[in-house]
Amino acid sequence: MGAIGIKLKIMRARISGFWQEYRRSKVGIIGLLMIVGFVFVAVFGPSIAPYNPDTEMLAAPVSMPECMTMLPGNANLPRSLTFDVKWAAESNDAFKLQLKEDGGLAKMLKRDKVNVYSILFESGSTEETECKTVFNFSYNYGPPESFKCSFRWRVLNLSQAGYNLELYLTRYNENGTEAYSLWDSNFGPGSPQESEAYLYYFDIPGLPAGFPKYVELGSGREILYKKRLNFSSEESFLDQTFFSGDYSLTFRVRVKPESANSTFEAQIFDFNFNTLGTVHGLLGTDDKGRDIFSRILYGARISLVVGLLVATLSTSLALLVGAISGYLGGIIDEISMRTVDLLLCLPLLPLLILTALMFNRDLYIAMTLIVLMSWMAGARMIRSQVLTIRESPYVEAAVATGCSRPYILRTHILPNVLPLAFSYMILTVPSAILIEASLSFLGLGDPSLVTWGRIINEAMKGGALTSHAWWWLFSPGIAIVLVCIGFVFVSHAFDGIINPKLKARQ
Amino acid sequence: MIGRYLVKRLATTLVIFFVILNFQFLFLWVLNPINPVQWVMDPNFTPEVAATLARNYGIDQPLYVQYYKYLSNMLTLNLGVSFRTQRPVSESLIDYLPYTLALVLTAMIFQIIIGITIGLYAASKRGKLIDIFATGSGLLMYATPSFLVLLLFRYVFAEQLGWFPVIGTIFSSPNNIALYLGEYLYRIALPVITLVCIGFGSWAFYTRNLSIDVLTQDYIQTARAKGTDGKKVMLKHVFPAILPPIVTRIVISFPEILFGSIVTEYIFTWKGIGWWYMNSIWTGDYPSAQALFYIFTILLLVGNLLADVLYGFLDPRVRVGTRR
Repeated sequence: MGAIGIKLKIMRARISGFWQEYRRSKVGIIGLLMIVGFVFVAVFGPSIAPYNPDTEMLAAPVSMPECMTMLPGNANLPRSLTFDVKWAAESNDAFKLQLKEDGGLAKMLKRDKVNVYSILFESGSTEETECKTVFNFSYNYGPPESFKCSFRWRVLNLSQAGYNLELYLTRYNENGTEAYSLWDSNFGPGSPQESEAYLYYFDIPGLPAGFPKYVELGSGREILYKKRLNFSSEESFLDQTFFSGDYSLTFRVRVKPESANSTFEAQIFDFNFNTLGTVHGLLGTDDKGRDIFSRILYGARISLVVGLLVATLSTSLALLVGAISGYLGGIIDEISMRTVDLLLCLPLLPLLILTALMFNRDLYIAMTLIVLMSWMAGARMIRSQVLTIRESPYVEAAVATGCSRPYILRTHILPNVLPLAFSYMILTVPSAILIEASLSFLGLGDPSLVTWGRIINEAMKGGALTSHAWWWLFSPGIAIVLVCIGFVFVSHAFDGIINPKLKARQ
Repeated sequence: MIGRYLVKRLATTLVIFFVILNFQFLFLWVLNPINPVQWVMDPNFTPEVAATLARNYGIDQPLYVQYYKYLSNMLTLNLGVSFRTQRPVSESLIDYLPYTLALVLTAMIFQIIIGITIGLYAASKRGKLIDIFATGSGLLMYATPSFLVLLLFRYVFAEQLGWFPVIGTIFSSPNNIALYLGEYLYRIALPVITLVCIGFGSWAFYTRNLSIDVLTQDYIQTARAKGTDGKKVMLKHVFPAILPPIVTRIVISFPEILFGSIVTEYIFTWKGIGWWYMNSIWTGDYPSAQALFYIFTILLLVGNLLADVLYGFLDPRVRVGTRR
């Protein structure tokens, strides 16, 4: 107990002495803070990320960061908006509109609860009656990249009436109002009583996959809509209809009952209405409309794992080989130093590229290779330090008093090369991160992982250079630089302490 | 002493070369999950065609015959035929290599001259702005992936400002030598400038640290005490003293800068061997990729050997016998 206690005390004193010295280095403190920030992001990144990194179409492809709207002329750029649609009854009091929970529907759809807007109508005659529910909103930006509207409806058509459903958009301007029909359907008695409708307007060619139910640009339905709205096929629907102003969205039910005194109920639910803007979040979106900021946050974890794991393993290897070959010398030394010479003749990046081609593009294969190829310089350094220590008088005294080799290695040599090994480890972290980033940048990284290098690769391939999307191209790079600089700073401060020669001598 | 040192170093290099050849045979030929027949295999091929292919590549023969053939091919630089262009790889190499050498050598020369100058200057002015600049750019460039700087320069100077062409090596026919040279310079300028900006920092940092080590030596104090002015101390005493490690580093870093050209040429579409390597990887042109890998390895081997030999010549303190 006593011996361990003393050892602990010595260690604590050493560490606090080291810290006293380290604290004086401004660069070192900054670097330490940067690393702490990086580790925080790497650990908590996925939980602080605002979006899932793989969710597509959060906004238009290659959207700008939100801060760009502060630039002159950009204030009006469309944001991605999700409207919380709340229907209100309009016109007559012939019907009742209410928001209610529908247990039967919830059971049918296997959900906890479903809120439906129910339009309940009791007819007194067989005349056609019109029920309108309205949602008023104002839109304050330029024409969006696209807008999307989807909902489900069902009709509890107790009287077997014929009916017509229509959804239309009304714009209020100085000349009065303009109405655009978005969707309508006529149903005779006995028609399908339940369905869903999707409307989707997308203003640029090349709609991404995954929206099969929407109206696609160039499709028959889109041409039909344009015809109805008197647009030529080249004109953009959104540019003409959707810009700053007040709008209302109307859902109209027209019923022609077969007999008097019948009831009719139409229900709308799951109503989603949103616009896709060209500005999004902190760092915009990539060419698939994914949130770049979230992707970067997720990438931090991989960088941390690569950096720390590679550095730890390769330094351990370096320490092992360096200490043993330096201390034992002879044939072991010769073999390990020739191995070092041999491995130093293998080009790392070309080897990684070739491996990625031949085997799976697996992160662990790449990491193993990086470990195997990055311990040699450390082993050489540690070996020469061990050679110096071995010649020192106190080790010779220890040998003379009959201490065993493992004991000397453990108590005299290891503690003295540990700072050197630690400094090597700190510098290996950024170089491992950089080599992995280069590999991913060349498009040969693990295809299942979002890494920083891969984001830059996607940016270059996705045309960020020509579309001047600097935020997409450079933000992952800046993340890499910040992380690596943190480690370089710490290493610089650390070297100043363990290698006083480098310290300023004024 | 130096003779023994050379012989020993040469012998080691030969052994390493042999081991690497074996390693490549094992890694690229035996362990490679894709064998040469599959490389060119088409689902439409009949078994007879596959057999012919196997015969052509010598896959049907026992492993030791393959091993012998592999060794003799590698040693005679018979590097195979590209799948894509059906040309011998060594011929393509002669086409691509000059572009890379032009790029890498020009960049290296400027990097080294600028870096060493700044480094010496920084060492003589400890703590001043130039010193902070040298240290800072060295540390910054250690932490910056080269592709980021390359992309940045391409983005700013080629895409935004339009001062330089985006695509590297597309030359009009070299009828007029002056025009050709002008275009060559115009197209190589941006990659070279970028590489210089990426590389000079580490040279400056290295030179500065070496010089500071030398500046603390007694003979510098003596020179100072005799009244030699600072500039003369740097040029007459410090520079010769730091020359051996610097020359060594130049030789060692040459192959590394050459691999670095993989990224550079990928970004600037500069059709040298780095671009060729990536292109071979993407198009599955194994013979080219393997041959280039082999050449990269030889270059590293020769670079390391040359560095050691040069160091032995330049620094008389190097002895083999220091190791017990």
